[in-house]
Amino acid sequence: MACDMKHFPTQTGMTILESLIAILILGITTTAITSLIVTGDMIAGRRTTVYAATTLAKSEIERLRAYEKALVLPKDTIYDEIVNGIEYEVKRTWVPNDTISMNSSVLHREYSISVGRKINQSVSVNFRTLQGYYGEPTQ
Amino acid sequence: MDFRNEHGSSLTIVLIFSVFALITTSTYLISQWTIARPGLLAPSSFQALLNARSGIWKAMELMNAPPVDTLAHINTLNANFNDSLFGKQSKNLNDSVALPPDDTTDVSLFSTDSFGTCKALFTYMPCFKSITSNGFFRSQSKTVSATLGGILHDSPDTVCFLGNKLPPEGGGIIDGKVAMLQDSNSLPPPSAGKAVPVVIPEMRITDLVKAVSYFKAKFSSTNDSLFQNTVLTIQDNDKLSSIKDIVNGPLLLDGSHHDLFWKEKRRVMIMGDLQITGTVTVENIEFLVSGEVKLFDDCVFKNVSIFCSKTLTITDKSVFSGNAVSLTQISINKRARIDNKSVLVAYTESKPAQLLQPAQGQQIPQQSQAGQQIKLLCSVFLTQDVRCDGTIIAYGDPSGIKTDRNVIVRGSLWSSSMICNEGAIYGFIRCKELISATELDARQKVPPAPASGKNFMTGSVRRLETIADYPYPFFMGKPSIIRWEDGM
Repeated sequence: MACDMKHFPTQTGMTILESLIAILILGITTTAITSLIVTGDMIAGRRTTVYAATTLAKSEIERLRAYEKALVLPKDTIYDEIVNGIEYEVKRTWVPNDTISMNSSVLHREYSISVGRKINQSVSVNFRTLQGYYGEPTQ
Repeated sequence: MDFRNEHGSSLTIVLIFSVFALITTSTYLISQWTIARPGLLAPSSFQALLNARSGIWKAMELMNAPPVDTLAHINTLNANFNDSLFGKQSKNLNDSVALPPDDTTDVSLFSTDSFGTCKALFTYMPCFKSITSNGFFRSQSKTVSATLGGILHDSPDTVCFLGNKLPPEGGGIIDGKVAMLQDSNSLPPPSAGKAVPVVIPEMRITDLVKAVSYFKAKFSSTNDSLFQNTVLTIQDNDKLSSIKDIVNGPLLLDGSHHDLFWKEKRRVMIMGDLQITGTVTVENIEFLVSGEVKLFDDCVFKNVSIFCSKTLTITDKSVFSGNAVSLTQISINKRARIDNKSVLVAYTESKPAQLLQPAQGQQIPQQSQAGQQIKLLCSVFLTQDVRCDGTIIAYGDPSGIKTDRNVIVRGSLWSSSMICNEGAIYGFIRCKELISATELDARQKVPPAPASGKNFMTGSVRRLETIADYPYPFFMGKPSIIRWEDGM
């Protein structure tokens, strides 16, 4: 029995220190992996939102260009659009610009186009453009 | 079994798995970023495009703005006086400063600077103006080009604009309305209930003269510094790239042995004649030619601009599309074709009578003989089975247009004096008088026969539904952007 006791002590398994270090490394790694996955998903989500918002802004700009051909000055507008189940708010406003001279046959106006998610406004894109008109456009 | 070898083995496994998991997750993150990057850059790229487009409008405003009287604005007591002497090199144009040609200019676009910048370059093409605008936003840049021309005709119903009310004689067909030329400035304002008379906008001669002066200045500045070389002959496609921007003498493109194909977007100035023979295709080039231009033998010009100081001859089944200005004469004959709503302008200054020496393809007037002194009344000749899809304009002295039988024109003929039409026109004609070939010959003699005062036409003019789609030079009609080229 004494002989058995002699061979029993701490020769197998991990020490407490080893276990603690392993748990610590596992914890750090898990946290890092989780945050990387979350960041990756956020990038993908942001890309989807920004891309959809830019596409909506492009459509709005084309609508603005169509007004030029009809010689009509468009009024400010705000409307909602749904892309892939997400609701976006499109806003177009005329920005009065004092530096634009009116002593020319070409008249142009400055417009601001802002597109963002309807619920989470933190993701939004803003554009600025000039739209020209020949002759006298009507309101 | 010796258990001592298993000391710390679980730590190694944890480390290995952790590193593997981190690498896998980082790869996922990098791949997500790579996929997302173009999408995330889309707003910057689009704003750069909007800046470039906005630059076109701003440049057009600056082009049309009256020049500032600098002397009237100098104030030596102002604290900012002489600032520009040590300031930045590029000009920053804000208000009422005319945009000079061939000079890249910083254009201030919006009420705030945070949406990027723009540089604009304006240059003359012979019949049009071209604005190239570079928009910048963060790391993105986009280029937009616009071609400026004119829109002239709204309704296809009026096919004849004449200087007097006399109905044309000679049995010609006029399938549409005939209107008298009227000065749009002298018309009374339209009142309620009265129809607005059809008015064809006239030429803005100041703009035309400005463009011609610009090209003449190009020739004279080159002429001062260069000696003329012998004829530069190109017979091989490999040698086309050796043609420099300025050719110090005549240029001959000879495609009779090998087919030549020259497609490039550039301006080539030729200090001499330009002659094309054989199977040659030229695309997108802008030629400034101080001598004559002759297109022979099935050669094809696509989207080409030509400014020539002397005669422009298009003959022998050659095909031309684009725009051209000649300061002497335009002669189109022998089954040549003008395609794709092209614009050709003959702008001539007064010339004295000369001894008759018929040029290539040009007919001797019926009752005239070689050696006889004549004063040409026409500057544009369309003869021998020509097919023309475009606009032919003749202005100056002489400024008549002569079309033969078997000539078909889709588009319009615009003359500041007379038209002798024996061909078929689909679109409209505009002139002060229509005269017969016999009367034209008689009036070209020295001394000239008196004008009959009648309108005479043996050809036909019919309406063309698509006449409003035909572009005009920037010095005629309502100024418009006739072509956009986005996002290069």
